[in-house]
Amino acid sequence: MSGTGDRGALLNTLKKSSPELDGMALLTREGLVVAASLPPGCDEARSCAVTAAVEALSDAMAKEARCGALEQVLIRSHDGNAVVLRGREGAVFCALSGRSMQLGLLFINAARALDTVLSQHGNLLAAMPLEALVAEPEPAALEVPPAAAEPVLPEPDTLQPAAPEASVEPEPAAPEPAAEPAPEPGPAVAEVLVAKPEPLVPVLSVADQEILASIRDYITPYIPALTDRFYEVIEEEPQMGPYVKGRVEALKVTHSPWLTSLFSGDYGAEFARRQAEIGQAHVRANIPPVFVAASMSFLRLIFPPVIASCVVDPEQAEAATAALLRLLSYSQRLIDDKYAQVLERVDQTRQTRPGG
Amino acid sequence: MREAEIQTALVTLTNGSVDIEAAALVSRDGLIIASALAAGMDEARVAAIVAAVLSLGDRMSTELSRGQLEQVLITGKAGHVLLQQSGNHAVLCTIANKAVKLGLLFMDANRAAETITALLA
Repeated sequence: MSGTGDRGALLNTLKKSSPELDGMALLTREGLVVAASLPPGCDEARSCAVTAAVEALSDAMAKEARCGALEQVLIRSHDGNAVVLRGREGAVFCALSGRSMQLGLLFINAARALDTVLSQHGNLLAAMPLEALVAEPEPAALEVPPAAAEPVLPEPDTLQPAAPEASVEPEPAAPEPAAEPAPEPGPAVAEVLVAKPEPLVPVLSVADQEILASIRDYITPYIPALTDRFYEVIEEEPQMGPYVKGRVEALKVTHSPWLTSLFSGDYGAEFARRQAEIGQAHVRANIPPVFVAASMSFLRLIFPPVIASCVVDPEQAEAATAALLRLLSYSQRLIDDKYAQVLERVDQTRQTRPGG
Repeated sequence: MREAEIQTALVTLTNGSVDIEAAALVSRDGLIIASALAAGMDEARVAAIVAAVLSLGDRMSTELSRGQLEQVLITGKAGHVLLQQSGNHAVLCTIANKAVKLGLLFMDANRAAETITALLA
């Protein structure tokens, strides 16, 4: 992609900017690698994911301790130190030193290296979303890898196919879903979701539900920080900002519990009802569907690094990530369904008009 | 009274310098053991985040081959938060304003951590 050449130049600047350092990485706040030059044996993707998680959580810590907005984090360890700096343009910068480099010197070197990068590539970083520069996006993090989908799912139509299917679905439910009898074996996913939310979520296996519940305790401490970040981003976004203007604090009150509910382990009727309610609220507030889609995409981006950083076993982390991505799609589909019903009404009116 | 002694160690730490504003001792699973926090700080939330930051810092240190984690220093616009292990199961969290001399903060916090380690042993 167009980012590749730019990334090469970035990496060169990084390496030259401070040879005294053991390693450096420039990453997005979501934990994706932009450019990294790390000591041998360090996994770039994992290192950046955990660095971003440390940065996000440290920001929450600084706020909680009334220390103001985060400036830097120092990790002092037996064999060396790491310093994490927040750059402009949503960039996070991490610099490593050996045990021999004095802390004061590390701070100066790290700040200088970040300055060099920003002064030489600031325009580039400002001009394009950082994501466009991301080095080969971590596959497990962005999409459900086929391997992780497992044979648990009868039909692995987990992500993309689902949403359009749901919104085009011509038979979206009797107004009161409860009366519907159990669908025959192997019902179409959309049918089950639209008509009868009781049977457990066909897109989520029992293992999915269990693993999501099992990481709840690890994720919960991040939720306030994630919600803050979510609304920070939305407020700054010119198209989405106006919809939340002046009521961010109020929205956070419902958003945090919603994020928490994703790890409840119980995604039955009550969960489905709640998603439909959220959809209804969005429709009533005249919030365009793209807002929901963009929000969900953002969550798909920011959750995987958080999960990767707090679930120690990589296989478990991958399974949990895949389960969460499926759950987000399910939730989005239920929310979108309310928009589908609006469109359906419009469509029916339009069809009856020329005929009658 | 071990509790009172731990509390005394925290108060000694915060009284040792005008720039050290608060301190808390938190268990590794995120529960408060003792605290000398400033008014308005939420003990439970501080404790939860402290434990989470420390375990992530640990993980980061491993990923980046820096060896065993010793301390995490978080610097915000208005102050610092220093986290360090104290004994096997507790984390000492020291909160200081921006005027604090970092060298002094490290020394004072280390001394308190040692005292508390001995009390918990």
